Amino acid sequence: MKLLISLLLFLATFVVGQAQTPRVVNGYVEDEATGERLIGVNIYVSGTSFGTSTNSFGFYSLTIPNKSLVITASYIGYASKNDTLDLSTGNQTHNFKLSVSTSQLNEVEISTEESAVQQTQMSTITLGIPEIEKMPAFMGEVDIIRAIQLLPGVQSGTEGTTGFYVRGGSPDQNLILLDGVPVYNASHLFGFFSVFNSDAIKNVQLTKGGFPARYGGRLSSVLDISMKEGNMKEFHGAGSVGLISSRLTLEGPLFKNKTSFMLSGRRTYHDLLIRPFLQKGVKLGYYFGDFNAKINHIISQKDRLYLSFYSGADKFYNGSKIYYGNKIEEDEQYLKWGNRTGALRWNHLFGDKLFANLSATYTHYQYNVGYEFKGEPDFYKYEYTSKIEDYGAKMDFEYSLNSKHHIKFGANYVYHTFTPGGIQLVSESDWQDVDSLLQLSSIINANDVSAYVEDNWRITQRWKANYGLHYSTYFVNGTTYQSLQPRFSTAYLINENWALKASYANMNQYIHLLSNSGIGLPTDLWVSSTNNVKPQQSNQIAMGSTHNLFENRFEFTAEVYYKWMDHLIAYKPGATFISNSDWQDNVETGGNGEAYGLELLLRKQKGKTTGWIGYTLAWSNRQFENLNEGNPFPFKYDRRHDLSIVLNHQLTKRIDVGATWVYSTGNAFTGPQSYYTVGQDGNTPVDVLRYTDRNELRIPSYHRLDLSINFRKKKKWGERIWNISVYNAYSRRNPMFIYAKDRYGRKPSFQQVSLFPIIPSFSYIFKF
Amino acid sequence: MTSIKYIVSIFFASILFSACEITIDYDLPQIPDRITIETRLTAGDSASVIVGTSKYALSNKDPEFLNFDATVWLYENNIPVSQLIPTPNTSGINFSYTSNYQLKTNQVYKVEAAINGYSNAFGEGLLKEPVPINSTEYDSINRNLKFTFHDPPTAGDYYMITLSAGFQSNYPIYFSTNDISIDFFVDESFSDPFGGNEEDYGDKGYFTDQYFNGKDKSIRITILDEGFQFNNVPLTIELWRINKDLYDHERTKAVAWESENPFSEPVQIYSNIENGYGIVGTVAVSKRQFYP
Repeated sequence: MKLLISLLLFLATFVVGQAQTPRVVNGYVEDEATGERLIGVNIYVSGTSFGTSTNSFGFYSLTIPNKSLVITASYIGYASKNDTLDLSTGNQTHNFKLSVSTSQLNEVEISTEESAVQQTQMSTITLGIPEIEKMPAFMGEVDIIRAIQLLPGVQSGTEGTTGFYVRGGSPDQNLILLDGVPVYNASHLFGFFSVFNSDAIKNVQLTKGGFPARYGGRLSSVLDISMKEGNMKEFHGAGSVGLISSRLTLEGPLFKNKTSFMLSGRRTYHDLLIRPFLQKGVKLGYYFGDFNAKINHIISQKDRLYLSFYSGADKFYNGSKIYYGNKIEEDEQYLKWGNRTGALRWNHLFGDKLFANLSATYTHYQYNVGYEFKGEPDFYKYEYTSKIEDYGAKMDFEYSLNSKHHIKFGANYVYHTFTPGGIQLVSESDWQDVDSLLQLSSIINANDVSAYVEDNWRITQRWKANYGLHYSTYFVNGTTYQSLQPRFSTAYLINENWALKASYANMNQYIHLLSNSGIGLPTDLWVSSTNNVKPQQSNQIAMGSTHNLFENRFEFTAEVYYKWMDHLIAYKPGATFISNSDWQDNVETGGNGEAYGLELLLRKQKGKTTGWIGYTLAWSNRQFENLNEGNPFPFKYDRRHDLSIVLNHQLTKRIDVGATWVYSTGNAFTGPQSYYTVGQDGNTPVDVLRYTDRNELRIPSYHRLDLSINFRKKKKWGERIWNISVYNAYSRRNPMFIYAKDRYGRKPSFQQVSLFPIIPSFSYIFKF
Repeated sequence: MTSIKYIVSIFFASILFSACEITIDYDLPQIPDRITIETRLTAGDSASVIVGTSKYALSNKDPEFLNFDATVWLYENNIPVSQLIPTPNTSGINFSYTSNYQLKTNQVYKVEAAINGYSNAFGEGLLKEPVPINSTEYDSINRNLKFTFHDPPTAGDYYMITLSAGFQSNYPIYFSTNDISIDFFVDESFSDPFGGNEEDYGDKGYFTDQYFNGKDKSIRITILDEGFQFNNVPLTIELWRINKDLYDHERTKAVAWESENPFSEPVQIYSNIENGYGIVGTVAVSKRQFYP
């Protein structure tokens, strides 16, 4: 702690020594029509290199020379706004209200200042919801995570699923934040859909490396998702009716220009549709649903309050209901899982320079596998439960010190409760009455405390840097872990269209996900670091170049990275999530990993044709003392090549078409090599398989084309859109996994299991 | 546990409900077929070795469990001491390679097999001394047996316990224990979750000296075979000191057979055979007979 304080003092002294504050301009940027605050809007002084962008609350603060200047706010999809400010009289608060551009198809509208070239941060990509909604949808469901999977450096998991792997990391190394609250399981339907209802989402930002000091707790990525705040001015709604689900979103002012709300719900109806076709007495079904809610209240010009909530649930069940005269006997086997998150956030502006956000957060993830019998008078229940629950409090501050330094600092506290496995037994009958809870693994409570400070430093007109420290400490079962994590990234502008960038980030992670499937099943187990299981650590260096091409119509980014990881854990061979023993007895610890590669991204965000081409060349390996005889082996999702092409074209004002093509090297797998026979001590001899080294083989490569077309029409009450999508348009049989079929009686063969052939779908979307 | 695994299996199967399956030509790298060796070299006994051959995973032919075209040698501390020859079992059918050479403790034994067309394969292990059972106590009402022994000061000792009935110790008896250091490897447990006291059981219990190295150790087991007439028939508790390779082989073999999750990593059965597969295990047993 002393070291941290010393470093903070050093940093503050250094920064203050550089102070030369002329004037401060700050304020919020919001959508003129809805009052919704806009994230990531570029604010810059025309003709200079002074600039910043709005934070996740739409706030900006800029320290600039003491004179009259033209300040511009620009944002993709909105008309840029230039305002002349006279700063000779003192600091100013200046709010921007941007309106949706009526000429957004004009390609030359792009300005250099708003491009990624100017930003110090590298390895970060922001996707707007309109951009995601234009992409082909799987079964009519627009999905944020599926869009993320198409970015370079991000790999999808098994066919059709929404798990994602960033720069050779595993899924638990992704910090998924919904309004600043971690979401532990982002999957519905065994990973085929994500839990994020796009109607309720405003903005999505993925950071793969060069992590600023404000982020911590995960090794590989931060996916920061912001929910809509709700329209401050008018009541509006949107919804859709699709093949598998329908959704409805309502938003509007509770008190005009003072308080707004947003409510959004989604539910599948597979269980309702099949009910008439089931035999009497048969119970079988599956559903998932989500509910998002947010209230946004302006207390004063300097204070704002946000209350957001998310709840989602999946349930898969089968059973029977049998009638014996007047008596009914019911039984049901079920698997259910779901997240709940909540956040209360308060923004406050102290003076002209210090912006503060205080948050109280809650997140909960739980799954249950069970069996229930109801008779008369008997009742039995047998339920296995695993859950993780966090309560947190967070303070974030932004301070615009002078024209060269913009400082962010804050602290975070999280109280974790891990319940990795418990069984509830209930038996009520004439002869016994039992209600007991058996904890297979002990409940672990942990205190997770962190603090950070970072400085955005404009060193010269062309050279910028972001540097900082993230300190964390973790108290669990009498053991304390501490970590001081330096972060650094820098950008040098060769010219106004070309920047070279580099970054280093040291990351630490105190929680782990035990998974032996790799496909994001709900039964994957979240566990804490303990005395025996150390926190995961990583170091990542990255270098890259960002270039605006063809009169700024295109943005080209190239990055290389190298990441090394320590203290990874994995299930012991053959171990599963349900076990008689504590999970710590079933894991291999002390694993190492390395990942390195090249990522290329060519992106076009304006004009009639938009989209990107992303390519990744990557390697990712793991090494555990007791796995693969101690030798390094490829990570399950080590893929040499990943290519994605995402295109959208506006044919007319009413029709747009989209296409997505992806190609990737096949996943690594461990396959059979030889048969031999074992058997002694009186056992019947049995043929067994000798396998290759771990993940030595590759399943066939994966490629797929998705298409979509949207027909839009203005109506008196709003707008309707017919969306027709085709998933896997040329019906490629992509492998989910392959296995060797038994060799008796015929030539042995490899069988490939594929999930989805061509799947056309349509949905009706309405907005009012 | 079994019922939960059953439920989860149904859900996994449901995932694959819409899946389609096709046969593909897969270019599986072919490695040469190899010799397999399987033996447990027991202190005080003669060696008995089973030699076979493996087959490429995509071959039409079956692997050979028994191959009698091999030349098999036993080495003691790297010195050849005996050639093993095919020996018939009681049915007159060749079953294994044996020799009359008596195996001694504190020696390193190596078994090497050669077959034309195959690379020579071999495996070895140190045959340690048996660890004597110091005492036994039997509670005939609860059928609990408590026995004690002193673990040698060397770290990394591996054990197996078995229980048998009959004057020839020829009837294996199942037993259970709530001693957490003992693992039956094969996942068998009392299935009634409402009965409480869920205990693993089996006829072979494995453990290491990780928690009692160099100390006295007491183990309590409960004899399970309900149908066996114990009256006037002696029971024998057998404490086997085994080498780590054999322990790992048995553990991974059991896990490989029990692995049920189609998405989990396959389990490689541990082998200590160079240029081949199988196991050369070493065991030394001490026994105490008692009458229930």
